[in-house]
Amino acid sequence: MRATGKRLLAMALCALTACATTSAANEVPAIIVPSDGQSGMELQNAVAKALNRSSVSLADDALTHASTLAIEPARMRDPQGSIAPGRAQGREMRIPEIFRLVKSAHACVLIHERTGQRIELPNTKCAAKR
Amino acid sequence: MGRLKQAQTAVLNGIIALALASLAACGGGGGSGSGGISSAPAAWVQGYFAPSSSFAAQCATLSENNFLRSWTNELYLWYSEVPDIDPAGYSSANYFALLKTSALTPSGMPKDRFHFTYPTAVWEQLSQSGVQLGYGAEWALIAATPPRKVVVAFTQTGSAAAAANIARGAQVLTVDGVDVASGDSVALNTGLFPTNAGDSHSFAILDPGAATSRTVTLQAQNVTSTPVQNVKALSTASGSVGYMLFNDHVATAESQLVDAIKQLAAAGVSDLVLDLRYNGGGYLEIASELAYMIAGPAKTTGRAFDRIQFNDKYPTTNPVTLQALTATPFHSIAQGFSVASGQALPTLNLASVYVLTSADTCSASEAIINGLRGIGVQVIQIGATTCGKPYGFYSQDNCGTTYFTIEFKGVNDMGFGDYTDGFSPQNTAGTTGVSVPGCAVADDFAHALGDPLEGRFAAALAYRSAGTCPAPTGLAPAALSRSTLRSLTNSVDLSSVDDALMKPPVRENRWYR
Repeated sequence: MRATGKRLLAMALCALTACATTSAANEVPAIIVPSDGQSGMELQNAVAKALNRSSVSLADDALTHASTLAIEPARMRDPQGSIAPGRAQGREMRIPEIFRLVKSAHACVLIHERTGQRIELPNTKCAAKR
Repeated sequence: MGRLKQAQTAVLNGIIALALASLAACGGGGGSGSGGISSAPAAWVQGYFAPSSSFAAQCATLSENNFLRSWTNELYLWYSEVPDIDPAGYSSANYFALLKTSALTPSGMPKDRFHFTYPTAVWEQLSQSGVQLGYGAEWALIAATPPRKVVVAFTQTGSAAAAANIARGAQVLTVDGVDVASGDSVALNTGLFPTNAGDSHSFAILDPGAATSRTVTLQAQNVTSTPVQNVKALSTASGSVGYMLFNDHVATAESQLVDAIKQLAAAGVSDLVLDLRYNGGGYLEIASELAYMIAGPAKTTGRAFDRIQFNDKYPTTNPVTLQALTATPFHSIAQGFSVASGQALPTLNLASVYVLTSADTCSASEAIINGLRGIGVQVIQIGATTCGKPYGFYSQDNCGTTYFTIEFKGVNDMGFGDYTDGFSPQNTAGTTGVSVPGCAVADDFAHALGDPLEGRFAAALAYRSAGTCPAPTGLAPAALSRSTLRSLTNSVDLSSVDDALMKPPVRENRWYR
């Protein structure tokens, strides 16, 4: 039931977004080939949109060395200013969101693992990760 | 995530309310703490707590205070130690501050030191794992008040700080021309903790061993941290000793820890020095993985790494997720943070481990110590008393503010979790936390992390070979107060000081005054 629900959700999301349609069999893990700031902005917008946020902080070299991208709560500290506050959350109870970049025959596609959402990045150059 | 949790909490509260209402209808359910639930009271009645859900998302101050009061009564770990105060007449911030225990730890510290709020919009910010805005330098506070002293604890590879050849132990003398020792705190904070990528600030830096300072300009950028660094195997007369610096339980740490353990296993290390001095916590699942990789399957199979306990209203169920309480095991396979889920983890199969600690060693890092001790792995602690945070919480959003109140405690396989005063090396001076075999040794900014001559690493090696400690150095937490820090001067010996890592104001209160 749950798997079916996830698939339906993914299909619905695909219908609402610019999703790739290439089958997984023709895809390989990929990394971004840095060109200009445009691809970085496109990636940032895609991740933020997938997570329903206005913005997400990414490194300039995000997905240029690895084909997976973990997004997690920004690291904050206990604002009480005690001597050794550690992380504010301490034990982080929120799970990270994982994205994978794949290269299909015609496009670079970002896949959000939790939802299965596939987002094509038309302005991004990518290459198969060796 | 917040809405989901709120919905779950609302469901739970509804169930509780329904049950209590049923009791009341039957003439039962008396007692001061669980009166009728049919509607929220018009005025405060001591000992009467309507469900928090009946006040949620109603943002008048009194409603928000009532929400906080009821939520605290439902979920706070020490709810019975909270005085029931009329919520009228308080701002929500001031009222929330009252909703905690005033009890002290055995050392005299407040039992609850983790009670705080964030604006929800700030708390919900997301970032790539390990990415932070800055220069790639972690500032360490040696003296918090004039004459202040700030040095570099470590830098991140590839960062602006590293490119400027700024190394551990470098002292910051001025920021944008403002004297660190006594200058304007706003200007100092602005330069040390930039808020926009591309911001540039100038720093007068006194490098370790240098007689004169130099000026560098650093541009802020999103810096990707490397949570596991300096992995090495050191040959000694009594076998190979592994070392690794582990700074943060972020998602990317999973793959780096796996690589590190593989490297050390291949080198045939018979002991490990695990440097957790700057590790403030994070994902407990990663802490569990590392503990498994250290101890191996024989000692961990069927044992609990950590078991969380809520207040006595919820002995078997997690009141937030509504799932049955189950222990976190020692994970023998990757959990999918940055290694393919299900992949078998490598192991060192050690019977003991040396852990380097400071007051910044907190939460999930302390859970590694406690979890391993719970299955009989000997932990030898070198450094300073840890922060003392066996607790956790789920954040609670209401009316644009995210509230944090301690909701559970973690215990190990032996049921132990009472380290509110932290873990202390056994020869620590003054009032200490749970005593652990090892040596009290101050941080040594005169040597690089991972250098066998660095004070704490050297003490671990000496303890391993001879079973003895150097004369204790460093300060017990009670002494490491702002008033004490004020007495330190610029002439302090960097080979023997205690510190507190400085955090950007958004991550922590400003230290300067």
